Amino acid sequence: MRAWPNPLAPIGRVVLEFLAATGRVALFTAESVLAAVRPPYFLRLAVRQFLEIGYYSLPIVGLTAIFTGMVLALQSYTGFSRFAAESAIPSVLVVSLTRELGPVLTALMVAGRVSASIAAETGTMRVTEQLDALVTLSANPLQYLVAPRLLAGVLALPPLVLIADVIGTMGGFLISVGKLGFEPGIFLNRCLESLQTLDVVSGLVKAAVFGFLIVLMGSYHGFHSEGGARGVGRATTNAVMSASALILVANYLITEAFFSR
Amino acid sequence: MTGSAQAPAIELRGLVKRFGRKTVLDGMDLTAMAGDSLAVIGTSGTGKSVSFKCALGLLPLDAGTVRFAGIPRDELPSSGPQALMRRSGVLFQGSALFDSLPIWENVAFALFHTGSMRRAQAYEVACTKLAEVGLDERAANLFPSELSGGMQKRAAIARAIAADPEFLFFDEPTSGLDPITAATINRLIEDCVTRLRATTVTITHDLASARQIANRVAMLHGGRIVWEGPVAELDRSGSAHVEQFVHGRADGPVTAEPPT
Ligand SMILES: Nc1ncnc2c1ncn2[C@@H]1O[C@H](COP(=O)(O)OP(=O)(O)OP(=O)(O)O)[C@@H](O)[C@H]1O
Ligand SMILES: [Mg+2]
Repeated sequence: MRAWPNPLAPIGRVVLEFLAATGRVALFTAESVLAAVRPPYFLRLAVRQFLEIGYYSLPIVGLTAIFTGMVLALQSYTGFSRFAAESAIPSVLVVSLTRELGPVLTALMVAGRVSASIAAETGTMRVTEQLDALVTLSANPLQYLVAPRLLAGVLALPPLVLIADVIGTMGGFLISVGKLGFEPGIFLNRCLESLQTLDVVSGLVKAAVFGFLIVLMGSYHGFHSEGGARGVGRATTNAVMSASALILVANYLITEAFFSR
Repeated sequence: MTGSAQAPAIELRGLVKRFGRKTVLDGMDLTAMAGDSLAVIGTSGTGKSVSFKCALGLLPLDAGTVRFAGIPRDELPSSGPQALMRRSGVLFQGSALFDSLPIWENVAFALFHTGSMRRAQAYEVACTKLAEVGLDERAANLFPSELSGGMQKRAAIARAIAADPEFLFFDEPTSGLDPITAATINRLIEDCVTRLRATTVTITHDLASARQIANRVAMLHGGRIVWEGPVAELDRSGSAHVEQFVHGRADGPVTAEPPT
């Protein structure tokens, strides 16, 4: 009877698949959070994960931050000198770093490292039956694997972002003082004067949310990987992609919540 | 280890498991009496591994019921000493040792991660269990990737029996091992069965192994058990399927690649 396929059918399928995936992620999130608040707590694992996520991300985060600060100083100089508004550079630098660039760039870099490694590790455990083995040894994989990482992610990202903010400002400071002829004292004073508590707080809230998303996406895709090494590879890619996308979306939503009025 | 068993310990009734449009289990019935050592044989890909995972609830079932010691699996508590996983030991086909933990922590996992034992004591117990499977204290401190396949299998058996389970599942304990190591592992399993008095289900393609460790044998084919009986009757089963399997013939009712 149906000579032509319905042109709307593929669209409907995509929408349904999207809704189903959203539902699965929501369920996984709820289960993970529940598992995290219920005993037993694997604190030793959480500490190890804190080091893994926080400490070992310092080099890449520092590198990102310092170059971002430097470039930001250079570019805003180009822009502001056209209006003879160079004196605004410190304030623009520090506010855009603490509110946006610090949290977002830090989170994106950490997502590349941590979401990928969590997805690869968990995915390998899935395809080698280690997750099943956990269950047969009376351990809830969500409690044993996901909960410590969630805790570590939420706690590790804010200090990382603070450090990124400081290093980024230092980068801007180096360029402004070394190349653009600012007085060191005046530059730093301007930075401190223009910085408000809300700038820092919003950045830290973002950091905690991003830390949660990074771990959640790594774990979710790792848990649901199937089909051997290829499946683990796909899970790793999907984890980084979805973590990055969610970070950008969440960043907009949090900015909107804090600063739109 | 006699078959004069009293009560059914593990009962599978009408198990159905599908992956997409492919039906792997199609009304599988199987009973192991308390103290039985049951060997499940069948060609590669018939669903032997799937069946024990379904029985334990590691994979969701499409239909069927599973009872342990007479109690439906869903009615067993999910935690505490009566929980199914507290009473079961499992050897996975690929050993499934946790590669981030040293061997002794693998073996003692259930004792101190989810149980209440102190680390030092758990280490002692792990070493005892490892000694039982012929691994010494040096191996206890290595990581799984530093062990050979046979040693990994032994360590995984030690982990399965560490908490003195009531139900034991071994998925191909001797596949890929040399005959001598295989014989050692067979003896080990035999020993577990007699000493722990656990009800044991062993999945295997290895008939010699089945004859040594089991008192009953069941053959899975086409999603169902096509024959079940005492191990002594393996050679006069009267079942064309078993006959073909025992003699290893390519032609017969069993085809190597099950139709998909
Ligand atoms: N997660 C899965 N998704 C799709 N199909 C699966 C999955 N797991 C198993 N199967 C299919 O189920 C069938 C039975 O697999 P199973 O691993 O139980 O075989 P087996 O009897 O244990 O074989 P072997 O002796 O080789 O281990 C296979 O055909 C396999 O393709
Ligand atoms: Mg198998």
